Amino acid sequence: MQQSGGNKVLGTLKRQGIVMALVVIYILFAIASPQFRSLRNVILILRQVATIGVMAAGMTFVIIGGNFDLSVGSLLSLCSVLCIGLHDRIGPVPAMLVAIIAGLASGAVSGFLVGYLKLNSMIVTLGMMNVIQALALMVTNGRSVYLEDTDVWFCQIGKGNIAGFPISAVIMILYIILMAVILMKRKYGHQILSTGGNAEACRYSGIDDRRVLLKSFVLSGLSAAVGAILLSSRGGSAQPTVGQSYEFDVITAVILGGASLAGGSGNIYKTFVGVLILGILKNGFVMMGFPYYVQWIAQCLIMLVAVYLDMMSKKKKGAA
Amino acid sequence: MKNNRFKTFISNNTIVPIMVIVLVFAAFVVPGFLNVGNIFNVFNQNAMKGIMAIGMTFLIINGYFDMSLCTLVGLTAALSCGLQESLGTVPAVLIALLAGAAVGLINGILVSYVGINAFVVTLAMMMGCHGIAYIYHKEQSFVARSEAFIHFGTGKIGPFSYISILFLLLLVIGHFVLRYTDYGRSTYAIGGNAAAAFNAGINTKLVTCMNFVVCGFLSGLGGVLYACYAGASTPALGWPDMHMLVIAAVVLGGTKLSGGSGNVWYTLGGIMLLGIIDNIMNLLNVQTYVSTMVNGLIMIGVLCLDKVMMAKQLKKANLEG
Repeated sequence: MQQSGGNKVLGTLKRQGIVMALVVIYILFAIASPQFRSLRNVILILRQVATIGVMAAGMTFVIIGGNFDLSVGSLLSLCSVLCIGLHDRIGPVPAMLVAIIAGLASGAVSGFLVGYLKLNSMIVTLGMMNVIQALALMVTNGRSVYLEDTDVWFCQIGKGNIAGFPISAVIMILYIILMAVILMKRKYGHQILSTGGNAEACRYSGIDDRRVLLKSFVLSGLSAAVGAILLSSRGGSAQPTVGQSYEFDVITAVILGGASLAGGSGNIYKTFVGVLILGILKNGFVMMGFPYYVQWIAQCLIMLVAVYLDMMSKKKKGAA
Repeated sequence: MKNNRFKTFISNNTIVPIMVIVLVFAAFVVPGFLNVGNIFNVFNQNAMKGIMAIGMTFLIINGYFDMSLCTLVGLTAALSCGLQESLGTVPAVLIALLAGAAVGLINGILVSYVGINAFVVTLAMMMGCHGIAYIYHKEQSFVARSEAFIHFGTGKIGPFSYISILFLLLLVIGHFVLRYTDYGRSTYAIGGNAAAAFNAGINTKLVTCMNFVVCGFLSGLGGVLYACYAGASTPALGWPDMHMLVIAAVVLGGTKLSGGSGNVWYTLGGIMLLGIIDNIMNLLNVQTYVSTMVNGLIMIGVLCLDKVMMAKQLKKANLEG
């Protein structure tokens, strides 16, 4: 991925394509519903997308590497129940550390299987999804877990505000900036981009593509753990199946952000725009009084249109 | 020579030794496993999933997979139950099957003619079908009214249920189509190397599109049969991981996700393996979450084993060549 002048201009144009979509969708909802356009609702949307935003940032690395991680949903469940279940027993900081270690470990296992053993990432992470979901159910015996007292500082992560701005959204934005710096400014970012583009060429130029892929899954696991902290601290409780089907939303957001599923390209900020579009759809239809399931149809249409337009713009680039 | 042929057979059909190991283990360790009634039970219970897996096999040999299956079953089950009262049973079932084929057609057109990535298309259709199924259901369940409809789902001829006979029939048809028709051979060719197939004069777009329709139709049929079997439909049928179970069964059987190889008998093996493991867990009174975990471990394990076998084969081929 060279950053030549033409590429940069086109890249900016394409980024604005998805941003334009975001603006149009926002304006449409804002016209249709007065509740939607209030400042309080904007802040609510930011709070709602915090978990998916963090997870999608990690998933972007996996998809850039040319793989999928379907286990993030159940990992979200496991880390949430660990966080809440251990909070009262060993204190908030150790509980969060345990959750993060669980996320890193699970990412390392999938990453090892995909990177080193070269197994198909879809089936591997599907297997991991089952294993992790089972662990989450075993840890809790299938019951929900609660905090004794939700008036602790841990819950402030999810519920609290700094100057009217939700702390969870601040954490999400900081996390996304961190991930974007890793992707665009650090050596690892170049390595994952080139591995996703052509793993063989990377191997010949001295990059250990197996380690690069492993690290991408570790980042995804870490993101699921951080997402779990944001999610569980909001309600002070966690169900062992809370993360079910989150992986679809996360992958959808990354795709809306224009990451190529064949690997080799992707952008964290655009992924975030994808996350915002999903968040606005979820929130907007409910605010307008539609049943929640209408959002799925909108999600379907927007995904197809966005990817189609993206494809057309790439074709034009090829023609020019 | 004979020994050699046996070896090739085993390394081409990794599912067979795995199945033998599981069966021997189960026969000795699991009380109540080794009787004819139980084995037929497993087969009958998994026939619906098997029918969907046949369609998925076609598509995976073609080099794609279909995620929309998971909510399409909910949609077709809903249509077949919900329309019975107003239209009668046969039209309701026909409309449900048509809906399945139509979703498959949309997938196929978007993937092969418009050229959008198959994962994106089928993921989007999965969301779409989920939404439509919920809108149609309004979050309630439908109960099937027709006696014949329910009878088809629960009736038996000898040890086989009607559904499993249909499954066997479709297996034979699937085998015949893949092996002996131009269409089947084109499917293999496209999965192996789409560009070469195109240059050889195969209408790759049409065949790919048709395979999506086959997969959609059989998924729709699977949904209708689930409704027959249960006598009712709920909007959440199949959500969120039915497609994954079906794809896993196909891949466990030995059909490669990269396309170009595999057959329906592999799929039968994969379906039966997952079914038998579930059955063993039930008979051993294991908690459901343990069986979920074992399922996950087996998926990863079989994939590892397959990789090892493939590596061995490649080495041998390299040495000989």
